[in-house]
Amino acid sequence: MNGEIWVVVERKGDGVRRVCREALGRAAALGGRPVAVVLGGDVDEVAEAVAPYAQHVLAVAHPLLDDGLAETWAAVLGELVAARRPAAVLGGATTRCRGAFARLAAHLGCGYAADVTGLELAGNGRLSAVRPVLGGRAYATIEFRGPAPDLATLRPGAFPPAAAGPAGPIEHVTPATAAGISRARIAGRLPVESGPIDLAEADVVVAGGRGLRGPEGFRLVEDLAAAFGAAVGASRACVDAGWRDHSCQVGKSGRTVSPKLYVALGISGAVHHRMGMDSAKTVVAINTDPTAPFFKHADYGIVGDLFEVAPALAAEVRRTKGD
Amino acid sequence: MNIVVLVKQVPDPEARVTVNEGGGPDALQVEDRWVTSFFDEIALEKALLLRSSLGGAVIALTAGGGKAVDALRRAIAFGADRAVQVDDPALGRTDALGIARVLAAAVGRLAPDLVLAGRAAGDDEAGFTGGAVAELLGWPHVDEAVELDVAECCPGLRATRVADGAKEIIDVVLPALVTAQKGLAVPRVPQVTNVMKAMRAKIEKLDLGALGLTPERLAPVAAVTGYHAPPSRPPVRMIAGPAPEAARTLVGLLRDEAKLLG
Amino acid sequence: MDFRFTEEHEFFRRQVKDAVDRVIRPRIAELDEREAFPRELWNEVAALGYFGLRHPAAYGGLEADTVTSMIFFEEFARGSCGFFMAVTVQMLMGTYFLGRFGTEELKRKLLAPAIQGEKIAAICFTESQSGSDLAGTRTTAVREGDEWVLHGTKEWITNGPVADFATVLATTDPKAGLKGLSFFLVEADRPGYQRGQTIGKLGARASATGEIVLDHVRVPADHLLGEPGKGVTYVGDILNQVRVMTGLAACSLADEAMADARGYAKRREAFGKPISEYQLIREKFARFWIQREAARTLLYRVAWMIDEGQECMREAMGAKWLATEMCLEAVDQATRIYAGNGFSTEYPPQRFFRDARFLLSGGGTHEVLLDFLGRRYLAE
Repeated sequence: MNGEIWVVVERKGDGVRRVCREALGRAAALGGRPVAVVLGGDVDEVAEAVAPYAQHVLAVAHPLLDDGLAETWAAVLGELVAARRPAAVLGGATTRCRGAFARLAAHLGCGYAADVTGLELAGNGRLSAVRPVLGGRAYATIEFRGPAPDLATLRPGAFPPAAAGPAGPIEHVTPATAAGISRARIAGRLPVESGPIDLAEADVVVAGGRGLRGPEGFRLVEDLAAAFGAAVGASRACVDAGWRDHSCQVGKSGRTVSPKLYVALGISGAVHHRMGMDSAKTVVAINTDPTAPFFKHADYGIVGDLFEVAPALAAEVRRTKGD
Repeated sequence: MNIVVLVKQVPDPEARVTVNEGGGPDALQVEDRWVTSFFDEIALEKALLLRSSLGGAVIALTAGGGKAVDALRRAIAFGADRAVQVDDPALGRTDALGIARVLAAAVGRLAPDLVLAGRAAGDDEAGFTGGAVAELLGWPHVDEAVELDVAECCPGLRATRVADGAKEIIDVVLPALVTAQKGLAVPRVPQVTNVMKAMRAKIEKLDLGALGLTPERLAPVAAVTGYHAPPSRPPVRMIAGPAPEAARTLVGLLRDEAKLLG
Repeated sequence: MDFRFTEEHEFFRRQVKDAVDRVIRPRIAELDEREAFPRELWNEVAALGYFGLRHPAAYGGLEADTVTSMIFFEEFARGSCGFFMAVTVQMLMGTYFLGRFGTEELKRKLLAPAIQGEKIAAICFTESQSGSDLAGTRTTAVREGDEWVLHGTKEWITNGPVADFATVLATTDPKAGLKGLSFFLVEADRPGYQRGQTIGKLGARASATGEIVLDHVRVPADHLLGEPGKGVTYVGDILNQVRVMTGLAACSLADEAMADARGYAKRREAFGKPISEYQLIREKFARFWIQREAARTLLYRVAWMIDEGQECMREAMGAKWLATEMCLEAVDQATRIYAGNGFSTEYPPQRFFRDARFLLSGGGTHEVLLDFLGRRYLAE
């Protein structure tokens, strides 16, 4: 692709969200010039962190951007895009970026593909995106026709992350967008129950279902997740029964995850659930019922008592990882 | 408070989906079973709860012909005061941004204090419409709210959402748009009197002309050029044996065959 | 000819289905195991307002046509079979005669709250020596001044153990046989009204069924519903609806059993492939589908005939027979598809198998239906 491919960078802790590195990796593979765009109140740390993965870093500091709200991010990105005309703008398919990209697309009148799992160069030199629809039961190919840039958010885990290289130069940019445009503000932040590992970007997810028989049974999931270093997920039945917060729910009405490994404990595997995890690379199903639908959609299956298999598996994982 | 709720009729999540070989834009075939999008119903329920505490009217709005009207009837069955359908042949040829332009124009005419929508539709799951409509209206918006109430710092609302592994509490000035995440409300089961009323309800119709839009304004900027089936997983490998042995075998396979746990 | 449902009917069906999916289906197995009248669920469903579907608006009803109400029954039967029986008694037989013949005062006192679900209704036909043969009715009603005195024992009364009032078939002229039968409204709090034993049942366990004993129960003269001696005529007026309703319940029950078995057949493997890929298994689904389509089409034709005011007893009997026999065959085949697991209480087929038996006797035993239909044909 000729021209710059921008990647909107999100912070995670003191570093960069992995999906942003994945987007930078894809940008380079598409032949464009990968430019990392860091937005925030104080951006130096993140700009430094992302520089080895990009040819150029735009460090955009503005007090308004600190809240990370869609309205301000879209306004500032709109201003920068108009001035610098990148060929494409990418981001992670995260709550924050998806909100900002929807607004940006409407603001610019550009095409936007959300939550893409494939991104290629089309014959006309524009992008062509592939994204799941109908809960992953079909994949649609999207082509861009309107004015540039082409906009896309990338599903976490769908692309290999960029490898570190020589750090690109950091250019500081001060947006002209007037302060006070935002009519929303963050009034507070609280931790959530789903635990320290974010479901959407976890490499390993261990999820539990009705087969655990109650909130006490869910400890098996937590213990196995701890052994794997995994995020904890839950089926709709568990969430509706109040065993877990709905932020843990994987499936059609919950979260979509694409981990490298998905371990389902006592989940029957109804289509609603599979819609949230079908793009996982390797799937392990453990269930007492040998006819559970999940076994038709897994790579490995164990039929057995969860209360025996899960602790045995946790012990074995710990032993292997300890080696 | 007057609230417009954006609703959409989508294929039933249990409808059969097949993707024909060849993969063109017509390759996708979905069984003819439809429901109102799950998150839209949550938005609708929240709107009705806000109406009962704050007063005002709830207006359901959809863009599209055919089955789309059922989402409006469903909204009436829930208890919405009015139902508005934008229907025009040009809608069949536009894209998500075009639909957002149509919805924004209709919201502009209805001039509510608040727009509620599902966080994503059950078919394309793009999560685009809410943010795009807000941008076109020049309003603030909050995505994926799990709580929403009147802010203490009136006039406005306080929303809570989960993003980046944290709960964010966001105050927003009205008029605003908020998209609903699971947890914001539990959709009701409509009473039969309302169902019967919905069967006979008058649906207000608007076309592009009435909204001051032209088909040219809705030319697609992102087009679906084809569909393909999801990659299929190889047949499952069942691991037998007592728990400790099965666990050992599985971990061995995860390490050596799937190249995990490295 | 036009075999289509209207768009309104289709919309209505989806709303009922949604309600059943969300309110009843998650609890089916639990209701079956608990084997008791589910008061909480009753209140929840009553609040949705469906109990008044067939009744006049003046008492809180909706005055829906037969086809609409049959769509309701068909979708509602996808939930718990026992609960379905309890609800249909409330909506049809248990309140029909009250709604048609009751005084204004009685309707205000009993019909309106029954539509709200606050009062529970029962219908009392069966006795130890009479079922399909109503001429065997021994319960008597004798006029004494301004009152009727009812005496007798009624059996197999759905909602009997919980009913607040019952419509009772009794003979006012024992010598007149069928032409001496009349309907009475009896409140459960009248002296001499006793709830007898609750019967343990093979299926349809979420409804409470039991005896009602009337020991010289006195009711005011206006509790006679309709004219004396016309009971059987009145039964005929509603029996066609009951038969279509029962037949559609059979279709839904069969449908649920076979849809469940279909999922199982695709998952369960034998000799290296899913059993759904064996022709003998496929044949079961093929036969079921053909018979279900035939029965259902005939049932809706009868519903349409009722709305058109056409005579349709013969068709109603035939459709009920066809649907119920189809259902019995389907639930049997479903257990066969599950093989050994079909016998296990851990899997659903045994419940469909048990529930289906309950549909056999409603609206006349199949022996009586066939005998009538055979005679009718020979007479032509």
